[in-house]
Amino acid sequence: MPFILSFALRNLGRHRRRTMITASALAVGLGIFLMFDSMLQGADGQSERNVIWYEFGGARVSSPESAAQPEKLSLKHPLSDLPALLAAVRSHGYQATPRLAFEAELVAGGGLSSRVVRAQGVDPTGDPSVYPRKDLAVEGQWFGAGEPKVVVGTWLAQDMDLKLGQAVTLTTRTREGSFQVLDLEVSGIVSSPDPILNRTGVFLPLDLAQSQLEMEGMATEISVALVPGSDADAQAKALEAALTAQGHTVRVLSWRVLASDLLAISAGKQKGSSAMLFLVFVIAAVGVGNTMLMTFYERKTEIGMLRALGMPDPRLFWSFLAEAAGIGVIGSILGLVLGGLLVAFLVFIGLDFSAVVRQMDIGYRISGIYYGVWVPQSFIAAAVAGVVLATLCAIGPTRRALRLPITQSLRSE
Amino acid sequence: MIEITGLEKTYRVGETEVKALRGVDLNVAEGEFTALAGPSGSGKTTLLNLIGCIDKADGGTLVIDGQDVSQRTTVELSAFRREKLGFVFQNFHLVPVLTAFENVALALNLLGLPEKEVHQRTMAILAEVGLAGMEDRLPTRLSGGQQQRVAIARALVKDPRVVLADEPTANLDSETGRSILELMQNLNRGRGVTFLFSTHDPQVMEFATRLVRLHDGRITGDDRKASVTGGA
Repeated sequence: MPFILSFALRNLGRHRRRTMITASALAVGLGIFLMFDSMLQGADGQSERNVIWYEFGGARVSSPESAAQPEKLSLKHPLSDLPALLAAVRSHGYQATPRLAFEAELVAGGGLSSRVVRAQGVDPTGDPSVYPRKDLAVEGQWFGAGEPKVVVGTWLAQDMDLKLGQAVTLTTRTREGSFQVLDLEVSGIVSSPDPILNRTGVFLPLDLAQSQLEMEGMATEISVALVPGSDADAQAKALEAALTAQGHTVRVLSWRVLASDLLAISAGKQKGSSAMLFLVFVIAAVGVGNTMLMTFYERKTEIGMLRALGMPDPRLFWSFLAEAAGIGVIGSILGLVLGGLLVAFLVFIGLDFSAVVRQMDIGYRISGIYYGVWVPQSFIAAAVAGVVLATLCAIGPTRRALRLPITQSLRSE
Repeated sequence: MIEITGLEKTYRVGETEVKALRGVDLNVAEGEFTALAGPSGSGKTTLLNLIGCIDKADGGTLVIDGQDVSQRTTVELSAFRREKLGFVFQNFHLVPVLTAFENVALALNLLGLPEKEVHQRTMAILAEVGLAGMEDRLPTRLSGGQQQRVAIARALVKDPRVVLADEPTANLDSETGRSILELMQNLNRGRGVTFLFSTHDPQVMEFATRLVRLHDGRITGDDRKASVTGGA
């Protein structure tokens, strides 16, 4: 075995340029894979955090009817007996806050500008316990209870040319179906890492929304902060079971259910990663396979001589495979270095997609800079894959070379 | 040492069959220094390949060192070559990434001998072929004659029963070729190893103690000499 390895190592240095070109092709493939993997996993992590912090909380308690169509904004099936339900949720150790979400038309500039929006009545004191505001940049300020004020997302404000202190109107229907018009003042313009909030966020005091929509003491949902790191679905189910046991007819949906579109993108990402791995495989197959074919072509007589001397074919086979594995090792090392540099760029600097995200919804809940993450498992997998693939790609050409009769090998110079 | 009876070999080139050997009978005794001579296409290389167990005959029997190798499997033939046969090629066929020492030691490494023994035997044979002090040189830093000496050392280091050489001086100038033949002759005498080589060079034929002539796949002459004429 040491002879095989030593022989393979020497042969690697025999055509340094070719070895390095092949290894470099493999390295580029692995580096790109690591970069994409880092970016996609980073986007997943950022999106999940933003969904929880700015859109749904960890879970949503709502009536069974509302839970059946979570995207539909209906005031027909609110949570009644809100104080008791809130107390029940909090009694299980969770932070919770009520919200009243409704569809409305936001009108500004004397009717010159309007948008259909998802307005949310939020509790000014309790809301930050579930929806942290530390990463929110607010121009102006949040409102206090009962104040006829509204906070809007920054992109919505830009689109409608809204300014602080400007008067706007929210036109909607009450729970009973009557038209209602709320005259409000823009007290804050909020910029968030979540594009949904920037694009559609409209917040007003909960008590104001309740009174204006004929929903005193009611809310459409209770947002719950779950224990981070634990299974969100399991926590939601457990909470639902506990609330049901306490006599409340509610459903508790975790953020994973509410943000199923995001998770679908994440699943699609897995396919993207697989495609990337396939690309790496193709590079390895073409590069290493071609290199080994050239190697065999050039060393036909040497192979013939070694076989004539009595070197067993399996030993020659393993020697060439060790050589290919050597290319894989060099390619993997270079790939890890290249991948490491690319991932470091993503982790510390990131890619700014804000111009794209501003114009269109690309699914991920990231407003601007996409940051990568370090994924040690991917580095290990890439290194192993590089060596294994390079080795596998040499099997065909090696077997082909060893099928050639010795006399033909010796004659071919 | 080598007993050949009715050896036949036919090659197929497209639709055409080429009879390379047409029932060759030949016995080579132990320690003989035999040249196979003949023009191109006479069958000398084919015969050498069959005796070297790197090709298989279509008919006849071949016994080397008392063992019938005609019906052996590829794996068995590989082991037989490893243990019993030495090869010297026209183009030397040294491994370019290995030093002179490593090229020679390769033959012993294949036998799985201990490193110490490999080292001792390799150094000894390199000295014997006149390459002492050059063991660390790569083939590219050796002359053609020196490379052929390495090849001869590689063939002999494992003490084979037979050394087969295909046109061993064809790629050397006449003076270097002569020195290589003298070396082979001395090794043949000193070690008693059977040498069998193909050639169409009259100078090489002069060195042989036995000259077997081939033409169109048949033996057309078999001359033994009382004593060697060249170089002695």
